Amino acid sequence: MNTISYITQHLIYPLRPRAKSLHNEVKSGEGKVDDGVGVTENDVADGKLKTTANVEKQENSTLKEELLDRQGSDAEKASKPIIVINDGDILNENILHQKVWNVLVFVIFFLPTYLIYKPLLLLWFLVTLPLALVERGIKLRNRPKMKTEKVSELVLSDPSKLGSINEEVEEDLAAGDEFYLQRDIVKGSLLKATTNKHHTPLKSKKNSAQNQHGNETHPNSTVFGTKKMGRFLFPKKLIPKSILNREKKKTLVMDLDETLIHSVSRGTTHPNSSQGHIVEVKFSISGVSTLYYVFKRPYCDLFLTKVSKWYDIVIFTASMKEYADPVIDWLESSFAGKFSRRLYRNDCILRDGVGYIKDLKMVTRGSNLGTSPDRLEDVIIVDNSPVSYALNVDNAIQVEGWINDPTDTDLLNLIPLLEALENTTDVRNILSLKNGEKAFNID
Amino acid sequence: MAAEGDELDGELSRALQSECLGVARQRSGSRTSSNRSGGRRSSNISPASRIFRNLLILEDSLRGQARRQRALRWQYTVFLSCLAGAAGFSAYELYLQPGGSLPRLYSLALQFMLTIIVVAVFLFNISGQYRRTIVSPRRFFASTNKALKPLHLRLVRVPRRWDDLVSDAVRLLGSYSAGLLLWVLRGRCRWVRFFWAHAQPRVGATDVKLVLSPRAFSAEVREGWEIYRDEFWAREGARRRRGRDGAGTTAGATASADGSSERTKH
Repeated sequence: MNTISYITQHLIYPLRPRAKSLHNEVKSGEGKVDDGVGVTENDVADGKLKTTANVEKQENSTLKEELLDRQGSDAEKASKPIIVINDGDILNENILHQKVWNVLVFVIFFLPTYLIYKPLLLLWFLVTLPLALVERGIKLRNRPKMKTEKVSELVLSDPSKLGSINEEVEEDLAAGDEFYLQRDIVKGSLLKATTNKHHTPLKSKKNSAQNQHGNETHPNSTVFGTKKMGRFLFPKKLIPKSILNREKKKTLVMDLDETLIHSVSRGTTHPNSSQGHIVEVKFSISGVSTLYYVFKRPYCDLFLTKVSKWYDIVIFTASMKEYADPVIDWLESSFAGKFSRRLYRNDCILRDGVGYIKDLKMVTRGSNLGTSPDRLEDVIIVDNSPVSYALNVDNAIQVEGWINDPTDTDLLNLIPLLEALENTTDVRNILSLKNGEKAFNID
Repeated sequence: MAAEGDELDGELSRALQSECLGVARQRSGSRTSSNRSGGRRSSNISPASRIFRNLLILEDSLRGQARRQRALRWQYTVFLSCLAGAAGFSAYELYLQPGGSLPRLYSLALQFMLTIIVVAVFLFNISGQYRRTIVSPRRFFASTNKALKPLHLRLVRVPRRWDDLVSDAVRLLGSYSAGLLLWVLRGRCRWVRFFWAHAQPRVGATDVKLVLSPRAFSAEVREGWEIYRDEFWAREGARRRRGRDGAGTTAGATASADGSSERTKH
């Protein structure tokens, strides 16, 4: 409101007296006749009376007071042509005019600001806010990178460090898409280092030499890796075409006893032996037949149903064929798929003092049914005893042995992992992580 | 398979060639890895690259699964709450409503609906669908992590910051509006297509990521994995953008994406 009053007082008000004086000139000609000598006592008194009356009428309006004061002072000084307000109506009209004028000025000058200009500003702010935020975020994220790039330039001033890199194409790891990590000696952490081959003439010479030998190099390749871990190669595609278009699924080798099922012979007591499936086993050698109660591990059916979509399931058991076959038949009947192969005790390797070892070469060799042999990198073995997979530790997923725990969820838990392993190029790379850092061949 | 074999052979011969020229690096680790992988692979590629690359595939699949499970749970939660709302409404109208009796047909319909819903919910629970769609998605992370624990891996949710959320919202909005505009313009305007290509959702470890356990792996390896992953997805995002930018709205967008990206890359 300060601005409003300022404008009305200083910008608009000076215009008013002129108009008023003109008005008065027309109205009261007698005063002028006196040739501007002075103001009669009556007139002055009259004017003063009027003013006091008016002040009483509208005490609130400071503007008006000022106006009247001025008029009064003018009248007293009598240096100017007489300004006498004879009529209360005229004054009221003036005040009304002034008010209207004020409102008009307010409307003209300020409403557009609040109604149009400010909302537009706000809208613009709202629209650009996300962009500004994103920009800010990008800036924030790039900041550490810029720092490291500076450091890396320092690192790169020694060309011998990166000069020894030559590029080689693995099946899908793209040449030129490399990644080299430099160890920051001070902090002990890694910094991203980018190379630009035009930095060092020595290095480019080496590169040209490599080019002559048929090793492709790319002018703007970024090389990452660590001294320990070697360079990092980046695949062109996340999942290579050779994996996506392959006709054969990976192979999942499952153990039977204590992994998928548990069985007890008839004599022994089991808490819920009534629910077990009864399997009759006839040993051809001795001719003795025995009854077994067989129990499925919880989620066994779900597991087999799901996993058979992604893998060819092979049953590799260390038990006798006579016992295993009826059990496997029973399992096969409980899910839609089929086991692609069955391997028994006579396919295991017996080590004295250790036990039966399942050699996965038996699986990869291919069956006599004419299926193409697997590669070892596409075979996963799930077993409860470490002895069984002692020859192929890197292919193994260990599960807890199951006997009768009804709340066991190990098979259920394995499903996401097995689904995720379906498209890997080499399962051993992942499954060898159970050895910790040895998988990286560091130290 | 045959093509892959050829590739491998080519690779092997290249490796031999470079060995003859004396530029191949001999590292102690590479020999053991080549032994382990049957001696056919080139020893030149660090095991870290292979492991990280396979971890990328693993992580991407797990991320997809986590998203699927979340969507499943969300859908069925909405569905069940709709059913519960309908059942609650009809129960109120039938038995708890203070006003007088309802029209006969209306009350019959309500009774029918209530019965149907009760039976449906009962069957839903009995058939194990409740477990499949609500319970197991809720336990997805816990259960997956149990299986990953022997491998010293862990699947974690990435906390989403508010600027990421805003950026996601803007991207979604931009992609939809630009897609609509492209459809209206029939893909003629280059700038709209550019905008469309750049308003794609973020890729990579935006919501779920795989971390290596600090107990089994040193800081160097863990940090290397993070950098590798981020770098790969940055490249992949750029590749997809280029693909979209170049390919336009035609049906063969994805097919030609690779080609165009490869052309522009080098």
